[in-house]
Amino acid sequence: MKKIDIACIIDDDPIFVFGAKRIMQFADFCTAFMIFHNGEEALTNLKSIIEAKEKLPDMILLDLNMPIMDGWQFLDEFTKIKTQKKVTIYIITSSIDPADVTRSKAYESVNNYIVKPITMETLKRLLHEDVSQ
Amino acid sequence: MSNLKHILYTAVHENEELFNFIQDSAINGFWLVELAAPEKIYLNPKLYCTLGFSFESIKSDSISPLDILNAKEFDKVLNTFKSKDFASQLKISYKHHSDNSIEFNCNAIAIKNLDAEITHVLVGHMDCSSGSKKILDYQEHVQRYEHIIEGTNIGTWEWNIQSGETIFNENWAKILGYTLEELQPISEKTWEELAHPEDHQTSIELLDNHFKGNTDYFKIESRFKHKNGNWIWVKDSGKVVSWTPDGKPEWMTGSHYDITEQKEHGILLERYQDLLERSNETASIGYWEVDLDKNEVFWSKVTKKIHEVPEDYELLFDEAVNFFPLGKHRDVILNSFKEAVENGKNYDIELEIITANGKLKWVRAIGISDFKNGKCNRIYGLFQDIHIRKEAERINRERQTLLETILDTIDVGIISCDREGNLSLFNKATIDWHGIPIETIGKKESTDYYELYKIDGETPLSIEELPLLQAMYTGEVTDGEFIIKPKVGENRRIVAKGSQLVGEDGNVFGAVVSMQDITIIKKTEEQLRISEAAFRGNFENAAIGMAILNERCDWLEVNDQLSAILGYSKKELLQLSIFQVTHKDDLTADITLMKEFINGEKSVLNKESRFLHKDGHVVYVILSVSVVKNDDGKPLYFISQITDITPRKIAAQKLQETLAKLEAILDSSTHVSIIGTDVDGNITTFNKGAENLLGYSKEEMVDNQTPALVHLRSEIIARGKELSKELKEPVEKFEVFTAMAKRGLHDTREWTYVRKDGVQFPVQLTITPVRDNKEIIGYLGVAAEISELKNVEKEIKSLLDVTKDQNERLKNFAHIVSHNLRSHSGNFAMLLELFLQDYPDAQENEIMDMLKLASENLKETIAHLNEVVLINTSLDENLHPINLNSSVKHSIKNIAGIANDAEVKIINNVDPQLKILGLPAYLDSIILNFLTNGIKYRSEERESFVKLDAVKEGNYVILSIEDNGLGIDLKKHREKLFGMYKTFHKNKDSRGIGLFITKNQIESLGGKIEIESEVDKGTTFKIYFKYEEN
Repeated sequence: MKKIDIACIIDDDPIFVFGAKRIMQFADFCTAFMIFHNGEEALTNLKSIIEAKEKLPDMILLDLNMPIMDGWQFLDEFTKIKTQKKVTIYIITSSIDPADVTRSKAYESVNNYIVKPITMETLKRLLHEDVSQ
Repeated sequence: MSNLKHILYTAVHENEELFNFIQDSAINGFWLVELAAPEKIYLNPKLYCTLGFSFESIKSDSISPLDILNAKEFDKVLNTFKSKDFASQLKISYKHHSDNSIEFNCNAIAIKNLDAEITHVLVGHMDCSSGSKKILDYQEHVQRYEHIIEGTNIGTWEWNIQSGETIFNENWAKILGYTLEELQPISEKTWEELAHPEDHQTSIELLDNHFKGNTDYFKIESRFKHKNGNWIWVKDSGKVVSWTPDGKPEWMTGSHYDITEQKEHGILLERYQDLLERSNETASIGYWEVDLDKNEVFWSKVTKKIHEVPEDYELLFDEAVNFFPLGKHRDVILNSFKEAVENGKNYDIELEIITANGKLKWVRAIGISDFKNGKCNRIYGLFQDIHIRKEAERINRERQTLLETILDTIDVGIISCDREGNLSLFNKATIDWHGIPIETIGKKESTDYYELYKIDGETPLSIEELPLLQAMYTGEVTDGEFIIKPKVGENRRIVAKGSQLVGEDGNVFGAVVSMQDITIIKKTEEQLRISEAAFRGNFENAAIGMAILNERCDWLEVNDQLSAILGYSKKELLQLSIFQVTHKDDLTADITLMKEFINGEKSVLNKESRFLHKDGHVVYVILSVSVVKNDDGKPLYFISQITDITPRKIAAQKLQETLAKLEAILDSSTHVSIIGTDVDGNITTFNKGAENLLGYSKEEMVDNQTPALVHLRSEIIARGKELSKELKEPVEKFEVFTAMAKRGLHDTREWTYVRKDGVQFPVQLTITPVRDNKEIIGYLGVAAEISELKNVEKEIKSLLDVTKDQNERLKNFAHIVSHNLRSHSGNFAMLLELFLQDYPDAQENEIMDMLKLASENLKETIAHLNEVVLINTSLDENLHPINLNSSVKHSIKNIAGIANDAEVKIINNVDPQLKILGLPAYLDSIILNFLTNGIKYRSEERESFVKLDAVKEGNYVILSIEDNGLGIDLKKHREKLFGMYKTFHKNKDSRGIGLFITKNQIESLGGKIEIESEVDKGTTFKIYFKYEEN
């Protein structure tokens, strides 16, 4: 299974983060992790990474419901930023609200809308997709 | 014997002596005998006469000498002649007719022949002996008596009264037409039988009288029956001529003298006299006589009567003249009398007399003068009362005058002609018409003044065609109509009638023709004909119904239009009366009106009425009736005109209804303001509602204001702007309200009205144009106060808002809840998995299994809840057309794996063209659910399939999903079938929520679901989707 370099998880739920990390490790999903607990944190950090011209993550798993800055806000901001590397953003959320689904489609950079919980298979599939791109 | 006669004549002629001999000797006749043949003897008639024979017997040669001469005597005489001793004187006895013997002294002379022999002897008879003379005398007397009797035709009778012996003479019988022979035997009885019974009776009485000696003679005029059956009158007179020794009458002789003629004459005369007297009396002819010698006047009874004097009146000569009234009449009579007396001029005059009673009478006086010795000694004559005749004459004259006046006054031309065809009468009218001067003219001249033509006005009448001549020769005028064209004057059209004038003798003495000027009549006729034709044309072709009725209101004539109006054929209509087609509500009124007509109270009627069409519906008409009266003023005909105004009436009724409704609306809508304006915006109508709502009165607003008064200026401007934009042209002021209406667009919107007191309230205002024949003549604004509505609206809105809010919140909540719950349950599941990865041994732990299950359950429940929540908040408007087949295919693909594993065949028969209205997500979910169910609940015992079909039905597309699986016991589970968390199978995968969710999804798409199932056979689900019309 091809690995991705850096996987970024933006989620305020620590259990999920823990769980996701664990699964990713188990699956040998990626090399490194970036964990942010809300959108603002993520944005600030990623911005600074970009500015620092450092490696951006290949994949972002973005949660929607987050305090301070939720997923949408983050997306709004993030997509404004021009990056050299294409960042695959997957929205991973518990929300099955079709409005959210629809909204997600508005963003080019959003590849998929995944409903929690994620499983090994889900990750594998993600990888497949990522690879095939 | 003539031979002898001849000889005698010759001899006498030759011998004068013979001639003398005869003269002297043959006083009483002679005879000539031929000595040689003594039977040749000629006796001259005288001798026979002397001997008493009748003339007739002599003439008839029925007597011979032997009748008068006995043979001996004759022979003796002959011998003397033959002897030499010719005795020239001898005595010869003859037999008298009465058988007496008469002796004559005779002379004889011999006639010698040339030989001087005696051939013949002539014997002449001179006188007779005295004895014979006596006898002769006696015989002569007797003869004379007989002759008398014969001459006088007297019938004699002799009657022996005692013995009854009766002797009649021949005349007696002859008078009665018999011969004496025929009456034999003659007796008293004969007389009795032949006598008239009455007269016979009288005779007996008279006879008795005579026998008694009272009368010298028996005289009676009595009747006897003639042989031919008639009664003849006889003068019977007689006398007793001998008496018996004892003094009784013995013989009576008498005579019968036929006096029938005289008697009849006598009777006739009597009658005539009577008649004359009577007729005189009747004719009032009286006789008068004036004796001029004695100066006496005689008047007959009748004359006296005429003069009205009594019968015993004795008129004096001088008085006579007083009976003539002074003056003309007296002069006339005196003059006439004088003329008669002096000149013998008889007079026959008519004049007036004055009667004793002073009465004037007309009389006819005839006077005849009688002259004796050149002098008039007597005048006699007649008076006749001609008063009546005179009167009659006067009347006649008057009549004549009348007739003439009539003839000249009347406007009928009368002409007559005599039998030669000459015009004899030409009355005034005729003169006028023919243009001739007023003198009688002959036939020839007439043509100078006029011409007669046939009715064509061109062809002149021929002679045969002249009416007067026609009348005369044929008795009638055959070509009755002709034209007179006078030279001066106008042409006239004449109709003539004529006839012959027939005299008392039956012969035609002329003809008369009466003519009538029918020029005007003809003109009138023509006008009438034209008028009638015009009327007829009008009547028949009128665009309205026309009818002629009689005084009883029966149809006499109807035209086609009326027939059309009432739906009956002309024939049917003529059978009905006007009342039969009148609506019953109008019947009474109409009958009353008709009565008024008949009474003459009304002469024209004009009213609206209702008639009944043949098929029963009401026909509204205007009924106009006029009456035609006869000369007495009685109605003859009614002429009615019937105009069908049904459409008009119905329209009027509708209008009336509409107006009434409108009125009602206007007035009843106390809460709806109706403001009408003209095209410029001036208020023309302001209803009660408007008054109520706006606080203004009608009077204030109508013709005074525009609606702008009650609007907010700002609104008007705002709307104006809006409209300007929409209609791409500037709209402002009143135009704001009318712009849409003018364009025929609907204009209903909310406005704010401002009440008089300033209070504003919302209204919903609809503006419509008022049109009259497509032209807009005004606008109508109907405004309903919607404050209430508005409030309610607000409430609803707020409620809606709240609800929406709630919904949102709920949704939010649902999402949040589900999201968070999900998160946690997701985490839980994830952690479990991780744990299991870390500690694979834990898998065997039962609790671990339970945990896992719990986690799963949690997840699932949350998922379900999510689904349910989602369903309830979806909205209809999001439906869009989806190709059913594609969705099905998509779903099938999704479960292809599972189907394969389960060995369930999925058959898709859905029409690729069908589209349904729905949400893709839902549709997929629904189909998927059923597919999975079909697979899940398959039967192990057979080859399983799930078949999908779609069919269009009405507004729906029915998708039927059929499987041959386990089926559902509908009896048990139908109610709960679609309930939440209801399961029907022991299948561990049955969650009991699938059908619930599916049903909800379907229903939210506007469809429905039906199920058919049989346990252990299979199930068919029918899902109704809204059908999308392409």
